[in-house]
Amino acid sequence: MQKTTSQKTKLGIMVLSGVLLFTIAIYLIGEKQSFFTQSFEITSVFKNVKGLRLGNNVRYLGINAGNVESIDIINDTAIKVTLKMDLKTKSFIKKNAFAKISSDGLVGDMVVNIEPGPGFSEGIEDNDQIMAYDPIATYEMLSTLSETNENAAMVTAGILQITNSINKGEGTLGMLVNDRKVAQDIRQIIKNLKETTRRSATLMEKLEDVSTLIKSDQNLMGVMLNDTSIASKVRLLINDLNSTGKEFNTMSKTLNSLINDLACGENSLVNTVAHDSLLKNDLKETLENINSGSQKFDENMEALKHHPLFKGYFKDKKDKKRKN
Amino acid sequence: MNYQAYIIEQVKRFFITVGDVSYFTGRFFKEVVSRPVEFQEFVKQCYMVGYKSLPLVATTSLIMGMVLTLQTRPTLVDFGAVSLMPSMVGISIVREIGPVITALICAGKVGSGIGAELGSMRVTEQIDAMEVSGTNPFKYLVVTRILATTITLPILVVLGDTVGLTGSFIVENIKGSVSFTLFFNLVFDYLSYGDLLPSIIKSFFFGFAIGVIGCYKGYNAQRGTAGVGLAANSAVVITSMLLFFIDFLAVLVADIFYEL
Repeated sequence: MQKTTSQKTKLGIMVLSGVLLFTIAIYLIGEKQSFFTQSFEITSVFKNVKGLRLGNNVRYLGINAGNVESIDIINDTAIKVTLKMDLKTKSFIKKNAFAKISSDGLVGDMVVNIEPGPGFSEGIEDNDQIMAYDPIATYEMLSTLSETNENAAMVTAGILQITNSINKGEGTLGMLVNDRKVAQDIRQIIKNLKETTRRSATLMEKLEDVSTLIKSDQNLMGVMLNDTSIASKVRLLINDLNSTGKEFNTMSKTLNSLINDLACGENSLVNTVAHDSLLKNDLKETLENINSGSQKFDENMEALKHHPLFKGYFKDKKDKKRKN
Repeated sequence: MNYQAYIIEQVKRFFITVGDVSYFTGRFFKEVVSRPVEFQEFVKQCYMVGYKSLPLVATTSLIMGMVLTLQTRPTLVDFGAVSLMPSMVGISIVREIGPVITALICAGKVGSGIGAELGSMRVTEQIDAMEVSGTNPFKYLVVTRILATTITLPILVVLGDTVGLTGSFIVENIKGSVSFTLFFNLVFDYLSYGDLLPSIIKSFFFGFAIGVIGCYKGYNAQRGTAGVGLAANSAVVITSMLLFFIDFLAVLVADIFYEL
């Protein structure tokens, strides 16, 4: 009985191990083929699926994200491929993404690579169709390459002909290449250009210094350019100048009118004095009297300086003047 | 004329044997669904067939996995495709090498054991004695053994596959620098249900064939003790040939479903 129980235990362990490993294998294979993950489907229409088969991997940005669910021929130039994608990738794939079929290495299976499209786009929905990118087939590449080779041969022949002409000194380029005087002139031009460039560089350095100085707010120009409050002050100053100018203009007109009244008017003072001889004589006599009175006043004042009562005053004044 | 008669006799015997095996198989299906169920004997046979064969199967599978890796690695290195090694070994072991090697090992060990055991019981009239005593020897001896081989062989195949892949990983890890996780990830990258399920299903047929042929040869053993050795020997030879034939048919059928 003991032996039977032991046998049963060992057998049970073996059977359970086998079943467990089988289950793990089933799960791992199923997981690789997205059998046990939540999924969504998208489609893409290709011209040629290049041997793609059901169950081939689908990669988004190089990560395995699903597999090929079905391949259906729509017409002679369109094959609809349905892709079963892992639901986790749904939020990352946009409507402008595109699918392309490529080989997984040199000897690997075909895979569908989904790449994001340019710019912004909305997120993809279940059963949406994304663009398909059909790369150029090998024979098309070879055909294009052959045509390119022919063109390259023609271009090479043309270049050879041009080179021969230049070597012979034919045409403008030939003259430029073969004429020594032209070469010397060009050398001189280059020399001059170098000098000009050097001077330009120096000038630019100076301009840069000036610019730096202006930016530094350490001079009038800098302040005027950089200090925003100056602008309002200048504006006020211009307004004041403007109003002052208007007032000056008004005053000038008034003075002009006054002078006209004095000199040019019929009843003006100048006109009256000029035409009235009696008034002229009276004025002359009055001026002479004033002149005589003034002389007499000077004499009186001189006499007053020598008077004992005022002598002290004038002496103090003289001393103060000397001290200063 | 003698050769012609000999060939005719051999062909005749072949068809008779096929007919006998068919009858034997039919009787198995008839007995397996009828009561009583010899569960204790069935468990004992599972232990003898399955558990006792496990060390041999594990050792063989381990060596096969290591040898397969050692043999193919240099070529893959030359092609710069050494990263495909785990996938290639995985598919080889799971689809073909695992089931066939395990079945051949079991045919050699279990088939011959069943043939010799039942043959010795036949020639020593133990089976006749069981019939006389009212026990159904077919149900007790044959049905339990065939069921045991049929059920335990797929389990042995799964265990053998695992050990074989582990052997491959050991060699790959020594020769290269691949981690356990990466190795088994690469193995399962290229495996599909189309690889695993046909392999397990055909293992049931392998187990069934080993049980049926071993039991048939032993149950119908004749000519005394010499007949025991003959039964054991012919059980192994016929089973081995039959295994390859079944394998061929299984691959054909699996390919049809796999292509779909």
